[in-house]
Amino acid sequence: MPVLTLFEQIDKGTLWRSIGGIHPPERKSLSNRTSIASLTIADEYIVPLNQVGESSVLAISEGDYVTKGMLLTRGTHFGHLPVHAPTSGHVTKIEQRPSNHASGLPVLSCVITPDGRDTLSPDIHAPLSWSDIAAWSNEEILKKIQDAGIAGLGGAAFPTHIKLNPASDIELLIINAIECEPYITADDMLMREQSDAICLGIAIIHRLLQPKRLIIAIEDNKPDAIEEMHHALNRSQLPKEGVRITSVPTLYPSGGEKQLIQILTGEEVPSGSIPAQLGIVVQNVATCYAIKEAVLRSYPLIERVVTVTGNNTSNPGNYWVPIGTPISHVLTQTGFRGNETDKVIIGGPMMGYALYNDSAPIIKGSNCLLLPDSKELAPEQKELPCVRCGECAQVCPAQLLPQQLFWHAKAKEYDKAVNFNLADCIECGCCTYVCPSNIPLVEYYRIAKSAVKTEAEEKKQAELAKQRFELRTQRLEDERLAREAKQKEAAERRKSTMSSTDKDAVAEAMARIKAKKAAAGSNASTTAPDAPDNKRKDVAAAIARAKANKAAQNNPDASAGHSQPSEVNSGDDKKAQIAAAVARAKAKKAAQQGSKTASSDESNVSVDPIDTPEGVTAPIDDKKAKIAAAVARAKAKKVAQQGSKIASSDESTVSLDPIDTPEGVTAPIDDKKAKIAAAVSRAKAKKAAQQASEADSFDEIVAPVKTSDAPQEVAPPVDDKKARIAVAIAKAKAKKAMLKTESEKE
Amino acid sequence: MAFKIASSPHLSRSFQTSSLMQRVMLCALPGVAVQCFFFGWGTVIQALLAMSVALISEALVLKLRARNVTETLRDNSALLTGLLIGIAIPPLAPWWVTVIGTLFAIVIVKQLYGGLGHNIFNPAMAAYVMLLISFPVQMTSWVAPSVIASQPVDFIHSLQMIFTGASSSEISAYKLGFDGISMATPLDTIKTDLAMGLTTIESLSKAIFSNGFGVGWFWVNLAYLAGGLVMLKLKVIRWHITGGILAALFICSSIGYLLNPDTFTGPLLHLFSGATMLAAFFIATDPVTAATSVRGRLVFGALIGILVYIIRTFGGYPDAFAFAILLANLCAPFIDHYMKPRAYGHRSAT
Repeated sequence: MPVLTLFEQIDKGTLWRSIGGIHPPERKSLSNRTSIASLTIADEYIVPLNQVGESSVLAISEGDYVTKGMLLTRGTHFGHLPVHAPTSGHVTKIEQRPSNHASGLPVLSCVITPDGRDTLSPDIHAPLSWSDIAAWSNEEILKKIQDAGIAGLGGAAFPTHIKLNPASDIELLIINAIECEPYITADDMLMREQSDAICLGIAIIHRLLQPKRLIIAIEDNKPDAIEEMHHALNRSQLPKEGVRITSVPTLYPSGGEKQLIQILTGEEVPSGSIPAQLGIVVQNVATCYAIKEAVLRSYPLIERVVTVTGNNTSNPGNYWVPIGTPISHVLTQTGFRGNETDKVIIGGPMMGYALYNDSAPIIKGSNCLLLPDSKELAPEQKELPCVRCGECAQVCPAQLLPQQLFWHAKAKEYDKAVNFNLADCIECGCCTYVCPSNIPLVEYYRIAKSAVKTEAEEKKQAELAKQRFELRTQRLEDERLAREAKQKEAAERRKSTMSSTDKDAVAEAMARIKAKKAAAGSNASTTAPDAPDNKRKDVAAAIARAKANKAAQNNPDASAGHSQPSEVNSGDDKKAQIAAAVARAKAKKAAQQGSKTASSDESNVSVDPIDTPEGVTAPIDDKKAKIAAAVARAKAKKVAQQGSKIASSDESTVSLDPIDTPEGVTAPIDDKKAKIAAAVSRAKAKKAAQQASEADSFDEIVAPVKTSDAPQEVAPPVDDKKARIAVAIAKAKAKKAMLKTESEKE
Repeated sequence: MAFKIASSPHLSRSFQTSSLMQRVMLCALPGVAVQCFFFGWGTVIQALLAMSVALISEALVLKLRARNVTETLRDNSALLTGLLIGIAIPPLAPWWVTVIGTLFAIVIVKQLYGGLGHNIFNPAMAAYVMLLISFPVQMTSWVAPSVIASQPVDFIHSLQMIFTGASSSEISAYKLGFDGISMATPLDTIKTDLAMGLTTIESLSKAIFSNGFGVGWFWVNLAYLAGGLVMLKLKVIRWHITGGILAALFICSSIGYLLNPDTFTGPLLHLFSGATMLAAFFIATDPVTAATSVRGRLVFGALIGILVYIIRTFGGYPDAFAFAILLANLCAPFIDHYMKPRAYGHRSAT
C-alpha cells in the first residue's frame, strides 16, 4: 500500500482490526475519581545506579550533600541515562539494595537521607517559552533530554534520547495514551490535569522528528481525557494539519507498541526490527510531559505519576511519587490494609510482577502499585491438562499458537518452541487469561525463553573453548615441528663440522660394540639365539625372578653363612630392589656352581649381566640396568678379591658400565647410578654392622659390605654433590660401625 | 515486609474445563429429549448406564495410575463421553453392549493414551466403531419412530429388554410400523433402495419418510441443531469445525443431487438425517482430537463432511460419522503441521 494512501486513511481516522485480545474487567473507577496527590517526604530514598560501571560513573560520593534534581551519575557511553537526587539531603550510603524487579536481586543503589527541606537544584530554572527554544538545534534538545535522564515511562524505560534520534526518516509519530491495562489510570489523570504541558512536550518531539503525521491515540474508556486533549491541542503549538486525536476501542492489549501500530496503520513491525524502520515512532504520553519539563525547565526525571489501587488500599488514586521512594513508604502513606499473604503487584494485573520485598524503590518504569485483597483477582487454581480448546490462539495478539508453545515448552523441546516463534511472544497474558485448564502459560514461556538463552550462552562458550583448544593443539604441533627442525638442523651442523678423526672414533666405537657382541654371543654356549625377542626376554626375566625368589627361600640360612640381603633395609624400596637383585645373583651363582649347565634362558635376560665371566652385556631396561650394575659391582668385587682376571668390560657400553677395572668401581656417570652406589654402600655398611656381631665369615659374593673395603670401594661420583655427600655419610657410618665392632670385640 | 509472589497475569476469566463440559451436556439435553420421545426411554437408560460406567471405570483407572480421582472426575469429560455413547447406541441394545463400549472408550481410548488431553481418537466414536464391528446386529437394530410404530416401547419394557436381554423377535416387533412392515432407519432405507435400483423419489415415498425427511430423525436433528447454536452463542465451541462439516456435506450432496437427483440424495436429507447435527456440533468439536488452528479446523471439518458423504453414498454403512471422525482424527496432526497461522511480523507463514 503506498504511503500516501495510508496517510489519507489516517486522516480519516480509519482503524484496522486488531487481532485477538480480551476484555478483562477494567476497574478503573477505583482510582480515577481523585486528582493527583503528593506524598510526604520519606525517611530515605534509594536511587538504583544500574548503569554505573557499564556506561556511567558516580558524580557524588558517600557523605555529599545533594539538592533536589542534582546529578548523581555521569555518562561514559552515548546511551547512558543519568540519575538524579529526588530530594535534597545527604548521601548516606552507596551500597547494594533490593531492586524493583521480579527477581528481587540486589542492585547498587545510592541511599539519600532527606533533610526535609526539599531544596531545588540551582540548575532548575523557571520555564522557558516555546519561542525561547526556537533557535535551539536538535542536538541541544536531545542533550537536554539525555541530561534529564528521560526514559520511556510506559514501562519499558528505553532511553528517550536514543529513540528520538533514529537513523531513518520518521513519517508517523504516535503518542500512546491507550493505557489498556485494567486498574491503571496514571496517564488518564495526567492528561486531564496537564494537557497543555503534554501538548508542549508533543510539540518538542514533533520538532525533533518532523513527521508527516501525528496521532494521539487514546482508548475510548477515557472520555474526559479525550476532551481535555482536544482543547489543549487547539491551544497548542502543534500544526493543525496532519495532527489528530484518535479514539481506539477498548481492548487489551491494544496499548502494546506493535499492536497499536497494527491498529492505527494496518502494518506489522517485522519480527526482530523496531518501528523506526517502518518510519514510525511511538512515545508514551507521560514521557511527553517529562520531556517538556526537561527541555523548558531543566527539570530532570525525578518523579512520576503512580496509580495506587486495589481493595487493599484505603486511599486508591494517583500520586506524584519521587523516583527512589521506597514502596513501603507509599504503602503506609496510602493506607495499605494487607499482610504477607497478599500480593503487592508493580504494574497492572496482566503484566505486572508481584514484588517480594517492599523496601525496593519506585523506579522510572513503575506506573502502578496494585494491592489486591485475596478475593479480588483470580484465585490460585490447580493446573489441569490442556484440552486443546484453542482459545489461547483465538486471543493471542501476536497471532502465535500458544498451545503448541506450551506443549513444546513443557516437553523441554525448546528448539521446536523457537520454531513456533517463541521470541515474538510479548507476554501480555491473554492466553493465560482465557485458559479453562488454568495453565500458567506465560510462566512456561518465560522459563522456555530463559532456557533458550542459557543454551545459546553455553553453546557460545563451548564454541569458544573448542576454538581455544584447536589453537592450542595447533600451537603445540607447530612448536614440536619447530623443535624437530631445529634439532635436525643442529645435527646436520654437527655432522658437517665434525672432523674426520671424530668420525673415525665413532666408527671404531661402533665396531668394538659389534665385536664384543659377537664375542659374547660365541663364547657363551648357553646364550640363546641372537635375535632378542622381547617377549622371550620378559618370560625369561620372570622365570629368573621366580627362581631367585625360590633360591632365596630355599637358602634362608646360607651354607656358608650367607647373609640375607633381604634383611638389609627392607624399609627402603630401592634398597630392597637392590637386595633382591643381589639375592638373584647369589642364587644364580649357586645354580651355576651347582651345575655346569647354567640356565640357558637366563642369559638373554636383560637383568642378568652375570652370565659369563667375560663381561657384562649391556642391560636394556633402566631399572634393571641399575640393579644389574649393582650386581655387577658386587661380582666384580668378588672377582677382584679372588684375584682372578676378569676381562675388562668394554668401555663402549657407554652409559651403563660401572665395572672398568678390577680395582674398583668406576664412577657412575648418571646421577641415579650415583645414588644407587651410595645406597649400596650404605647397605654394605649396615650389613657390616650386623654381620660383625654374628658371623665370622662372609660369603664374598654376597657380602655387600667388607668393612675394610666398603668405604673405599665405592668411588664417589665426580659430578654430583649430593651423591658425594651420601657416599661420605655412608663411609662415615661404615667407619663408625667398624669402630664399634672393634670396640665390642675388645 | 515480604509478600506473596506469583507470575503474571494475575487475572483470569476462570471459565473452567468442567463448566465447558457441563454446558455441552446441558445443550445436548433438548436433542436427547426429542430422541427419547421418538425412540423410547431406551435412549435415556442407555445414556445413564453409559455415564455411570464411564465414571466408575475412570475412577478405577485413575486409582491404578495413582492420580487424584475426584479432581479428574470433576472435569466432567467422562460424563460427556458416556452421554454421547449412550445417545449413539440403539435404544434397545443389551446392557453389555453399552458397558463394553464405554469401558473401551474410557479405559483404552482415553486413559491408556494418557488421559484427558492426550488421546488421539475421539473416545465415543472409537467405541461406537468397535461396537459396530463387533456386534453388528445389536448395533443396527433401531426401533421404529413412536409416531408411526405399531407399538411404541414403554419404559418398563425398555428396561427389561436392555437388562435382561431381548430375543430378536421381540426387537423386530418394535421395528414394525403401522403397516406391519419392519422399518430401518431412513438412511439405511435409502441405501438399500438405491442399491436395489429404486429412485430416490420412490424411496422417499415410503412410510419412514414424510415430506422428504426421515420421520423423527428430522426433529431429533433439529433439536441438536438448536442446542448447538446455543453452544455457539455461549462460545463453548467455535464455528469452524461445525461449519466445515455442514458446508462440505451440503456442497457434496448438492453436487450429487444436481448431477443425478434420482440416484443421489439431496442436501437437506443429508443434513437432517442420522447423526449429522449431533456429530457436527457435539462430537466432532471435541477439542482434544481436532485440529487447533482456525484454518486447520476448517480443513478438519471439511474432511469429515466429504468423508461422510462418500461413505454414505458409496460405502457399506448407512451412517458414516463415526468412521469419518476417526479418519479425520488421524489426519489432525498432519493438518496442524501444515496449517500454522502466520504470526505477527512474519510475512510468510512459518
